[in-house]
Amino acid sequence: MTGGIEESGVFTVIWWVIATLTVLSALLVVYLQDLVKAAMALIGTFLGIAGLFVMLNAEFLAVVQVLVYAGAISILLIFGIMMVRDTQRGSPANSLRIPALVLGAAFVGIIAFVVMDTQWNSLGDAVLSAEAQTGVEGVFSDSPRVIGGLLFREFVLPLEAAALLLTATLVGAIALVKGE
Amino acid sequence: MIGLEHFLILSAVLFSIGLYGALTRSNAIAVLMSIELLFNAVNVAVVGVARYTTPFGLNAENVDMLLTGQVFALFIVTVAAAEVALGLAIVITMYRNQGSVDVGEANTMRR
Repeated sequence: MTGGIEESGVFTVIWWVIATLTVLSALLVVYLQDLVKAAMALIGTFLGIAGLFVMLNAEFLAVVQVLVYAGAISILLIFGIMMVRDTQRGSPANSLRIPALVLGAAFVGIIAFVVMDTQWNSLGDAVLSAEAQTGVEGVFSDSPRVIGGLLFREFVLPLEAAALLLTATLVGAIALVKGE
Repeated sequence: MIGLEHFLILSAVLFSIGLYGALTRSNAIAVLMSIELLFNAVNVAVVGVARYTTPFGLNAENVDMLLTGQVFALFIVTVAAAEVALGLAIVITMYRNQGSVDVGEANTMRR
């Protein structure tokens, strides 16, 4: 799994650009008082994460991210903002600001320490047979086909459960909003 | 060179930004948006680990299982979509009943 584009400097530069844009727009989501603008920043975050998925060889997931998150969920949120005419009053921060800041910083610190301290069982260093090596490369270059196979073989029960969940959600949302 | 550590720490940063927003925002829809940030941060971590680590006993026959993490992320996306639809339905009901979507004022689920 070594070599190729991921070793190149261009990959590193693109990663840092996407990561910076994603974090900046995530900060805007929690900082902006106007909720419509915050929703636009949220779309930016979703698109940045789709870019990260492409860099992780998860092209199918990147497309799903753009369709479901940047397309459907953000539009749903904007509809919600428009239906609830409470946006002009803004969203002032409450008294939890300092504890939440401390909690977030502590979380990042702990995770960073643990991640750097862990000896990851890296795929690049793995000792594999030549056959398995070509298999690994094939899986990552042809991920949508493999995901489809997994979904309808190993994960067919969770897939049906997800269908049930979506149906129940649809019924529940209609029942809630329809009223008496 | 970019490795797993970069993706995991970026995911932690996004998660804590979302956590901060979910705890401090007072508008219920802003809280929902922060929760979407949390889902996305977790997805980045899951897909990153699936991409960069070796499962135990990996061989030529079970090489498909490398993408289990991506399938997992797909299910997280499904659940997030269901969550935001139901969350918005609850927020709209709350607005109808109380005329406000401030989570600090919401202390009852009925009129």
